[in-house]
Amino acid sequence: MAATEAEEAPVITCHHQLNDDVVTEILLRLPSTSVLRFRAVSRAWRAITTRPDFLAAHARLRPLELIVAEGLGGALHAVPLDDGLDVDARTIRCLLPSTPRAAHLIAPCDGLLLLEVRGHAINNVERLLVCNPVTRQWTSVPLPRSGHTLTRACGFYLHGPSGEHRLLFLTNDDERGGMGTSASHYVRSLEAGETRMLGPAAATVHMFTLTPRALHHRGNLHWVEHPEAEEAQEILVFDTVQETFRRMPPPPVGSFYDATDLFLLETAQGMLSVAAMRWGCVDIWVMEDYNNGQSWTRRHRIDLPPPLRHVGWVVMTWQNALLSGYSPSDVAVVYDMTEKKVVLKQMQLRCTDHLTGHVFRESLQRHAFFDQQQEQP
Amino acid sequence: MEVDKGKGEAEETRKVAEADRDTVTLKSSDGKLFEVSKEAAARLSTVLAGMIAGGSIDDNGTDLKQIGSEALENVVDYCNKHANSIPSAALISSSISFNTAPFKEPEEWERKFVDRLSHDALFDLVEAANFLGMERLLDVTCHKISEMMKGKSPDQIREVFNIKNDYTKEELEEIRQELAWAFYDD
Repeated sequence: MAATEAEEAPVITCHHQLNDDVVTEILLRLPSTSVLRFRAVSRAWRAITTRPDFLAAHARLRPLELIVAEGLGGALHAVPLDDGLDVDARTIRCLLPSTPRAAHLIAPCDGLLLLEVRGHAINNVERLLVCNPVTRQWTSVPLPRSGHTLTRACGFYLHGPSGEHRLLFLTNDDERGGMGTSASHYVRSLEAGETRMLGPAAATVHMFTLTPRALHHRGNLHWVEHPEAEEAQEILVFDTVQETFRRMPPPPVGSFYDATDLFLLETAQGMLSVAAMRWGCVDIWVMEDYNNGQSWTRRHRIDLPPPLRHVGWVVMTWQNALLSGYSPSDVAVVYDMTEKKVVLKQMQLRCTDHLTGHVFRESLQRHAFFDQQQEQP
Repeated sequence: MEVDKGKGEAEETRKVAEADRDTVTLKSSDGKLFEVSKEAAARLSTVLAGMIAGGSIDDNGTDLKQIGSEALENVVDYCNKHANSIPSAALISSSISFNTAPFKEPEEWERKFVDRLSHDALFDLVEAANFLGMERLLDVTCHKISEMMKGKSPDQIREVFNIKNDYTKEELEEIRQELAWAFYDD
């Protein structure tokens, strides 16, 4: 028990100094920018806030936030995703004042953002950038193959056994691109600075202008919109530890061509879930048992309040589902899953703002790959 | 647990009597005694729970030499108030850390509880909460202190926390340049 501090404390009569344990507890609860600023308070505070165990604990305790983009290349903002969900001007805070020209946010992972800078001609990726918006560090990631191949970054994950941050790419095998050619997956480790090809080429993959969007769940990445998944009308699953692919049946919503968009989610109870979007309503399906592809159950049918007829994505919080669509500018609707009703609607953003549907947790953790190659975008 | 048969009968009786009591007596560094519900103390403080389970609670007042009477009064007051408040949905769900803020917002009565405290009393209470392993009270007091820190400059923080600046002018300027953006928004 802490009986030793009393003797060492300097004699101060007005008010006493808090011990380092308590200062640590307080600093753990502050937003990242405050922690950075308060490194200027004293050497002791800087020592506390630069310790790796402090940085790891602080990152774990950050609230989950939703990212809002101010158009292409504009600022990125963050909205807290607690249950008092209330997307308005007061709660939005600036995450990053600007991104490089025409940069698309592809995926957040472990407090980092993966951004794609696209060229004009074939909507191909020109550059990939990884950035920590809190520490304002940037690095660019070389593409797996040079030349005029088509490449898409389709996953960003933390590889558990090595602790490395890795990117998963899909790249066309021949330079003509277009339809009917084969494509291969590549993995790039940010820490090791190496790219390697993964497994055999996927046969006859339709090449893609869409960016595959992955859901992290139980150490796996999942896609419904992926050149391979769409072809097979299945959910594509990537084990981030073994780095192998498998497939999983989607919920029985009818054909993929049945004017239904699917969007992968994770419920508050940690179950894999799919939002099936139809005109005027959204069905929420839950996979009751992750190891049983036949265990899909429809839990909710959400009737969209007019004028919203179609949503672009859904995010779940503890009690609510947040749905967003375009009508005619971005609008979000909150659905209470316990009460089974729409509780708040029409959270309107400025017309240049766009709710990305990406969720994010800040992290002040240091990564050597930023120091090896610091780059100003 | 196996009952220690070697112990005297008087000891046994005392232990039974103590186990039957539904309050525990705590003694502050300046010798004042406070009664607190045993159930609340065990539920809200990991240190007190350990002492109760380990039988190291003294009937005549368990010594808490690190905690002054004002802070201990607040601790006991908090435990008693907490024992009376119906556990809210917010507290129940706080054990599941998914998609929600890891620190639950203080409830209205908890906010009022810390708002009425003087600066010194708040600092004493946060140390007592930390010492006694009272996670929830630590959350509530730290939340209040972090609100006080919002938007403040390092100079202002030094004043609030009574900290001497031990950086040189050059070092401070270097930090300021390196982390420029952190100095104008929060």
